[in-house]
Amino acid sequence: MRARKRERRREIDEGEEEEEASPELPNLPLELVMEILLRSPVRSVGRFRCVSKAFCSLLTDPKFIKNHHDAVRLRKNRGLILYSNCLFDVDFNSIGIRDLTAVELDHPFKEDGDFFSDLGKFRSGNEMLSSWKRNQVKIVGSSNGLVCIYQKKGGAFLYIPITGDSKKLPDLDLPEVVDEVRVDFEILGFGFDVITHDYKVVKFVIRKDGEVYANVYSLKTDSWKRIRDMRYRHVQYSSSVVLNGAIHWIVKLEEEGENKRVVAAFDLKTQEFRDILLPDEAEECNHFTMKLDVSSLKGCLCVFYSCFDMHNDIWVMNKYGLQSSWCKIRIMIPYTFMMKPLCSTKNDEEVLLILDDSLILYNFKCDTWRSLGIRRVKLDNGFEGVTYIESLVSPNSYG
Amino acid sequence: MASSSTNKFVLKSNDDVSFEVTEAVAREFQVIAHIIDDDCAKKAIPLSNVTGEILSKMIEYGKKHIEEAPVDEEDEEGKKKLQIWDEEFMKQFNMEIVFQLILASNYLNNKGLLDLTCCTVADHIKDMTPDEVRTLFNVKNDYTTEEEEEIRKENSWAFE
Repeated sequence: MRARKRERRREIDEGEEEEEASPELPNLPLELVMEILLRSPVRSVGRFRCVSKAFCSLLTDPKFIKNHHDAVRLRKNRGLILYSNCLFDVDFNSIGIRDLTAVELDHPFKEDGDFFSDLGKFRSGNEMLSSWKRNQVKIVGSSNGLVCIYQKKGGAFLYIPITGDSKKLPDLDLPEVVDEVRVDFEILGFGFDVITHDYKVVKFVIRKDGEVYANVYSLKTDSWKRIRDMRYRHVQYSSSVVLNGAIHWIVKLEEEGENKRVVAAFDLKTQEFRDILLPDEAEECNHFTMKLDVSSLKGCLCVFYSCFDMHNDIWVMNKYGLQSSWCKIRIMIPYTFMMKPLCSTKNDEEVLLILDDSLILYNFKCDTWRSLGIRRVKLDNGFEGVTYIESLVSPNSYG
Repeated sequence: MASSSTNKFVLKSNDDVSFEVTEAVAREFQVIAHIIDDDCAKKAIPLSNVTGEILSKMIEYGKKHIEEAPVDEEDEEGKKKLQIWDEEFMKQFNMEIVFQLILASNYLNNKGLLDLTCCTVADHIKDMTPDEVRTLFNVKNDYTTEEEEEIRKENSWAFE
């Protein structure tokens, strides 16, 4: 047995000086060690690059990185990041089992300083508000390993959580709205087109007079393209959700002088917009800040209220694109402006939800729920979150 | 031709332990399937790189995966059941046996068991330091102190 071990070792080490093997364990050839590391989490891979030069060169090889990415995707190993003043990586596998722990992540906007420490600088409330708006970080969406994050001041980035690798999207040159004073706000969406294997970001620039400009960015060409003939006007702030190869937002459609809310679906392949009509009843909230927002629940398009009034109803489109399949469901916990499902848990029985300022594990079968706490983290109203797939692939090496 | 459920073969380990298995179970191991297809499997099939202890575990795994194979791709319940069995199956082994199972499932070419055993090790080592990994895989640190410091800095995100 011992002799065989030695022999195998000699093959691996290619004549390198031999050290005494640990007594019980047989030696694995490097190719089998790599099979193991293909199944290791991203953080472990990064750490094991420090084992030896051979390890490092294999673990930074683009082929390994691609195979690792494919293996993780196949396994559906997910991570969860949350943004509430800082960006956190939350231990996904502990959800529903034990107290959650979080690790703060580096990200492109981290160096920008804390808005609240600058409070003294502002002369007026308006100035403060507009600075806050510019500094606020939004998680636009996540696809495969890439996450799109955005800040009005800093622009949009494609970002890999954990490794912190990122790519800044080129600035958008819009002569018509070049004057920043005329821009009210911007809305983004991010998705992956499986046909062209391209990541795309859509950006609406909404001018103060209600005019809407839409542009689409392609990672493959690393450039923006204007989407002509916008029919949408006076768009309110809305999140986005990717479903069925399209990005969705709530927008307003100007029809016979009337503003009508619809779901705008941007087809990632054809790069065209299509409208999905909302159930009439969905508009029956009379609150003066009445606002709707989109997300997805167990793979179905869903619409919730975001008007700072109590709601416990959600609209779910059970069959995508079929107007008659909208149905209303009620949840046991009322919300005032945010009801965003993040994912189903491993056994698919429970759904992880952002509900205003809480992280909730909700069982839609039994209508039971529990609130999840994260050690040493206090979530603020308006916190954001997204699930992602662990990856070592750099957005800068794409194409 | 006899059906694969009645046709029997004998697998023989390197320490002369023999196991009689059905053709279906034998075919769980690609290398043995090739031997059967090449019609070289009249007598016992000698497996020079596998001990009886390891072979018996591999056959146990192969049998279970034949008997409890999910009906089709959609059979989520069947898949889940088998996955739970896999997890329990691996719990009985120490790292030495797991390593031997990796070598043997690579040698006999059983992708499922190779995946399962590699995942077990990946999980076992996930929080280890580089030094612990060196010991486990018997790898020599060939970095100079400066080089190691540099590479640690580049991958500092992995040490949080």
